[in-house]
Amino acid sequence: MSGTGGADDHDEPGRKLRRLRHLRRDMAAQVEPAYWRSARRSTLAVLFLGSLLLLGVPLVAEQLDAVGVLGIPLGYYAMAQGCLIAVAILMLFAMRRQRDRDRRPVAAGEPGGAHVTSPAMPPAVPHE
Amino acid sequence: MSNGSDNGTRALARGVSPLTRALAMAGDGLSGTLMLGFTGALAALGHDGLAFLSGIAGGWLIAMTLIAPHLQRAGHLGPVMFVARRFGSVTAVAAGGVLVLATLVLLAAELTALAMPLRLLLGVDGPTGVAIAAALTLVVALAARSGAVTGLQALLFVPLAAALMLPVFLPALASAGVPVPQLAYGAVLQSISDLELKRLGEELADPVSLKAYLRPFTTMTPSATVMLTLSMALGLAAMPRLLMRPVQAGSAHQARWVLAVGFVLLLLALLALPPLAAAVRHGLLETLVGREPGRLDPWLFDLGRAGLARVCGVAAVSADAVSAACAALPEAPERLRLDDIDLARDALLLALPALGGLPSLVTHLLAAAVAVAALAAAAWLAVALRDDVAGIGVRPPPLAEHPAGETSDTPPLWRRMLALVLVLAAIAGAAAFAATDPADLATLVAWGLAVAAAGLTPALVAGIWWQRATAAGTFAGIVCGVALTVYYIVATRYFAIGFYETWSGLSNAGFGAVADFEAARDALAAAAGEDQAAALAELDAAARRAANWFGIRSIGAGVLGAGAGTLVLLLVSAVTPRPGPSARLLVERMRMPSHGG
Repeated sequence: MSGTGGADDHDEPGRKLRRLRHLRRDMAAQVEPAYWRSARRSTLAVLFLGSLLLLGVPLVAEQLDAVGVLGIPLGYYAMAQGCLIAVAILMLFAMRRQRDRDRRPVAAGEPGGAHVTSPAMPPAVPHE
Repeated sequence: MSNGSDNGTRALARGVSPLTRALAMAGDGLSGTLMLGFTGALAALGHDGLAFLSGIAGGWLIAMTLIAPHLQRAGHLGPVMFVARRFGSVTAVAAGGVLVLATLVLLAAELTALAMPLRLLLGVDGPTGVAIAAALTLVVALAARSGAVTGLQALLFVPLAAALMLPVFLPALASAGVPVPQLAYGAVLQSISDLELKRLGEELADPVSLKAYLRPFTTMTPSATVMLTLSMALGLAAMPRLLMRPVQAGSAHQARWVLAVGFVLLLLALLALPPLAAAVRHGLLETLVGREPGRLDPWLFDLGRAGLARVCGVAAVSADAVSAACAALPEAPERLRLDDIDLARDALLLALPALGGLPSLVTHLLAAAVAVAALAAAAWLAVALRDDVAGIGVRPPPLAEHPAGETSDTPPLWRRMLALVLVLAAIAGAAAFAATDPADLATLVAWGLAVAAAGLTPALVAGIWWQRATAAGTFAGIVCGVALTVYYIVATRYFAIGFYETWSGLSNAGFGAVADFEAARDALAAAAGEDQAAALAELDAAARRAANWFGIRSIGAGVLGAGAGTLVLLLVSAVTPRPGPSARLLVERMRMPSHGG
């Protein structure tokens, strides 16, 4: 494979910028574990719920059809409307949870070894 | 082209609000193929067709959780741009090839959808309609900036959704007094079940071929349903048509917001598809089945002349032709049976107003909506491909204050020209492919997304979520995954006889299908002269029913490729040197909290 790209190619050469980059990487090493683990757990939970709705429910549709909703067999209704609406709600919920996580300063002593408590911690992508 | 690709990623980002992006994404989701293809698939497959809707929902969910916000944080990168930055140029070429192939198939579907109203209302033949559709798409794709297509699709969403709902809104309002067909179609579903029983009792439907509309797993096994959903979801989540707008948002939170709100908006239209399909099925069973062959309505002959309706085995071009064909059948039916009527699946939505006795104005409005939606979706497919390829190597935003989504340099001329050539090749290839009438629209969409699922999704997910993923591993994964999926689709569709004979031990075909295949093979061996072509066609049809691995259908083949590609990616990455510092830095950048949301 030719090259691995260059995420930092755009940085202007200069001592000051290199120092800033090292500082950012140090901070990343401190903050990443707790934040990333939390985000990863949450992502897995959302995907698990989504899988249940979109892959699990169809498998038991025949059994669900014994019940009716609005005159529609539940198994059919679940796939035609219910699960799609539930996925939309799940997406909105996951979006809000992640936003709250992004806003929350990482607490000292939180599992994962983060020790940064200041909300003024400079972000990796400052414009965000 | 120069306008559109003049730093397309920058043009896309400027002055576009998150709500406009969400509306545009919903407008893009409400494409011509969704309207025609998915409604037709739902009407034809009944309960089993709902897996297509689940696949779309899954794609949006995966894009929002696993991919889009991370590509935004990586520097507003499209999928191929990300692969280039994370894994280097050789892997990016492989990913770009996969993207062109997937886009080509999806474009073929949109061009077919765009040609459908032209065939039906203007009387142009299929290949000419596709050629006109390709020319229109080319003009829009070359002339329009990304932001213009985004604005157009955002504007179109509400009128398109309204036009789509019209054929079920009006009857729901008239019959039940409830102007929300999504709530009022329970009675229609019940009526379908009653009509199915009635037609069976009248011997106007065959108990073997009639698939109960509300019963699951009559046309697909449970595992095939799951694989179809998963294949579509994985593929959709990796396509630039879904990712390019959220990754250009101002923050990772905005990227998620655009996807979540876009899906909520699209849901308004998605929920209308099952009532539309139910109305089609109800109309077929009530209005067409049981009719005398000589007393059919003129709209059916319009479909027949466009090559979209056959009755008693012949094109339904006139009452005389249909009457003569039905009279010539061994058991000449006095009234049409369900199996005597063969309407093209993709034309069912446009036939719905006539089936429901609505004025022809509704048909024309619906046809116009389909044409506009298909043209906009095709143009966006081409523009998203262009921007993603042209953006390879564009520097990401520097780690300093800058306007949201703005990149720091412009793609070089040669890369813009390459993007132009790829777009031209994709549109020309799509037109040539669509002109052969390869499959119905829903199948084409599933094939295109299967290719993306096999080639792009493992590379993106591994690049974001697994720091150890190497360029060599990802390249090998992309190649193996796509090769397997393309082989499965092409071999089961175009070389079914050879595929079945090679892999008959892995097929789940029942005794009936195997017996049909062997009988057709014997018939071919015994045939001579002109009969050989017909016997070969019979054998091919029998082989297609039996050619599979463990019951996996070609529309779900993306899971095969994604699984194999992921395995290869993991194994090769594990035995090749760890990624370099620039790749690690990129991954770290994606894993940092984005304060302020």
